[in-house]
Amino acid sequence: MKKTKKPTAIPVLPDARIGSIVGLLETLNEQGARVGISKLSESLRFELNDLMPITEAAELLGFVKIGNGDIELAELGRKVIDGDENAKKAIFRQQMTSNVLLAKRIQGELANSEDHRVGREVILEFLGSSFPPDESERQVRTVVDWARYAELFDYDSDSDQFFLPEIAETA
Amino acid sequence: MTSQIQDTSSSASVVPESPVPLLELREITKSFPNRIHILGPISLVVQEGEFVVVIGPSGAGKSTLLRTITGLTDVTSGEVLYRGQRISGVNPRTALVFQSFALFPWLTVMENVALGLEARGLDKPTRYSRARRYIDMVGLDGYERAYPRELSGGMKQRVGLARALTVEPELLCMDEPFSGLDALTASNLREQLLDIWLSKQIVTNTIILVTHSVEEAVLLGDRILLMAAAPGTIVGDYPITLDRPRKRKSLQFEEKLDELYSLIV
Amino acid sequence: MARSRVLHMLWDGFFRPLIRSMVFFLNLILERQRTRRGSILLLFVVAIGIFAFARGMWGSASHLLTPSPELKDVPLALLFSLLRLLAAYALALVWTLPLAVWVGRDERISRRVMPIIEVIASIPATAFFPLIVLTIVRLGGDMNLASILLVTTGMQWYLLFNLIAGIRAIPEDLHQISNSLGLMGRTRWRRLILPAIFPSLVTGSLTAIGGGWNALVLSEYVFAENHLYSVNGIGAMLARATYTSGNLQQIVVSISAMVLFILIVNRLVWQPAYDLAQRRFALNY
Repeated sequence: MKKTKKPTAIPVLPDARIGSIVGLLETLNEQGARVGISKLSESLRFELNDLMPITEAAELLGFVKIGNGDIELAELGRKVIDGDENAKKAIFRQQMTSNVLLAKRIQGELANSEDHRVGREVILEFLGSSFPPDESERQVRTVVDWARYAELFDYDSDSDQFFLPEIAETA
Repeated sequence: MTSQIQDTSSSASVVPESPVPLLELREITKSFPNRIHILGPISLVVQEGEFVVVIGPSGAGKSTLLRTITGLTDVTSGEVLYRGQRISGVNPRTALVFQSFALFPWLTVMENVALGLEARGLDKPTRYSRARRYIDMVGLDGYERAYPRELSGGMKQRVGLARALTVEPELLCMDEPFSGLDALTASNLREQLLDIWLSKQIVTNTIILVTHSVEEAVLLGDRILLMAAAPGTIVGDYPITLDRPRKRKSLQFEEKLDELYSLIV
Repeated sequence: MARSRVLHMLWDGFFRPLIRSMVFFLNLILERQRTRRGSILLLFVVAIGIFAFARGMWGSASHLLTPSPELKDVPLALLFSLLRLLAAYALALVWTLPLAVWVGRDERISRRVMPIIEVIASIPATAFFPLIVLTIVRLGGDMNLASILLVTTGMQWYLLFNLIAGIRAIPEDLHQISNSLGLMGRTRWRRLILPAIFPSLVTGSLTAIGGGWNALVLSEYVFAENHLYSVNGIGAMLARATYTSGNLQQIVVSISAMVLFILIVNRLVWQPAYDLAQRRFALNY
């Protein structure tokens, strides 16, 4: 394992996609809200290693509570399931802005830039101080997935830039 | 392949006896040029409004069946009737969703979804605004400009679904749509499909879905068709009358599941 | 035809390997340049150096280093050669693309036709250059046309085989979904076929142009039946300098012009095209 030269200043953004996170919440809802994590992984036929990032992501966003090997649907998580598409996105937006450092950083850079565009390199450099290149790129992909769903910001892969989509969009 | 619809129904009677089924297969068989007899004979009637799930072992010809239903593949013998009329060639009132997603890697989500409308010659503003409606419906709002390589499996299949829904088909055919996804993503996507189906926001009034998972069949379908292999034929036709939403942990669900498992074995 | 053979041997045995190693070597140096501006700058410096040498600014007593009268015609000759190359490329593309689609899509046709194509492709066209030139001239065509056709023969097979591979590589499910969506005609070409074969088109064109250069040089200065057929071009310049005048300056400048041109096209055309093919048009996602 690679040793970092200084203590990690930036928390890791778990490797989990939106679909899996929402799927986890729905499954917890079905299975009776509070489940042992290992039991959950068995019933879903998921490797524990694959399930962990998803549960961590759900916890980071405040949708579940984890303790004593159990995972439980939190109040906010229930609101996500009960709400319609717009309500879900609004909650994701709110939670990302308050809990996810990387998303906050990107938002900040977008606000400060003149044309509200930020190059990928800038963010990779920010992450590069704590993570190896592969991991940094992975985190960028994950935050883009979340941000697109939450409609927080978007990413143009042709020019490799984060940007804020216009509010009233024409075709 | 251009589609031709030939009218072979008998001359109109004043009072229709029974509703013309949406889809009818009459003794169809399918063999490949090397004489291997894949499918049939199969006779089947599907009414408008049904959610039919076809289950069976791999190699039973489920995928081939779907392709003959949509007209993607011709039958070797027998007839495929859509609303009483014989279909040859691709049926434009159907749409398909594949297990492999079949997305165009060089097109964005929006371009992929609008592709069917582009094929029909609609202009860009019209296609994009119609596509946007279905992009929102499947939960891809915000991803319009993404390329397939940036998407997770679940998102990719949402694109496939949106693309099919955008051409506003009467009959939606899905070939193992969730089989390539992990359990959580599949469950998430199944829920979304059911929401869309039950909310009746779409033109589609009939779905035929192929799967190898009996559990998925009971979760989704109003009617389950069981296929056997070599050659592929339908050996069972079971209605599912459980109320929706269907919970996996409920007693009725588990009973139905056991019932089906015993029938299959 | 003996003189033609000598020229071919000189080209295949000496000049061509020389040019290839120069391109390779300079490419290595250019790789270390980070920016496109940096590499163009480097090439510019090299060009100036060669020009200075050509003008005899490196003082020397040798009479071989006196600038030849043809020196100022190099840019124009290069331009004509390039135009011929492009014409040949277009010609090759026009017949290879439809054939590739026909052969690539149908497994049965492919099995029967491919062996025939492979046999024809293995016949070296350069051996027949003098004969081809004579035929065309006798039919009333001019040498420019003959030269272009000769270049096409050196390009077309690379293009064809790459295109066939590209067509074959299109996943079956994309074809099926296209049929299901009713995607036909021009839209199908624009949205499915052309983007799908873009990477193969790039690699095919790359190798084709390379092969084209080879044929070009040999096609611009042809001896047939004791008569010399030539056109205004960089290949003819090199051949003339080698065979007739023996002017070292001319030889050096012709070779350098070719090397520089190949490098510039690599940087400005092939590299970006290849990158684009990898980024947006790769079939696996």
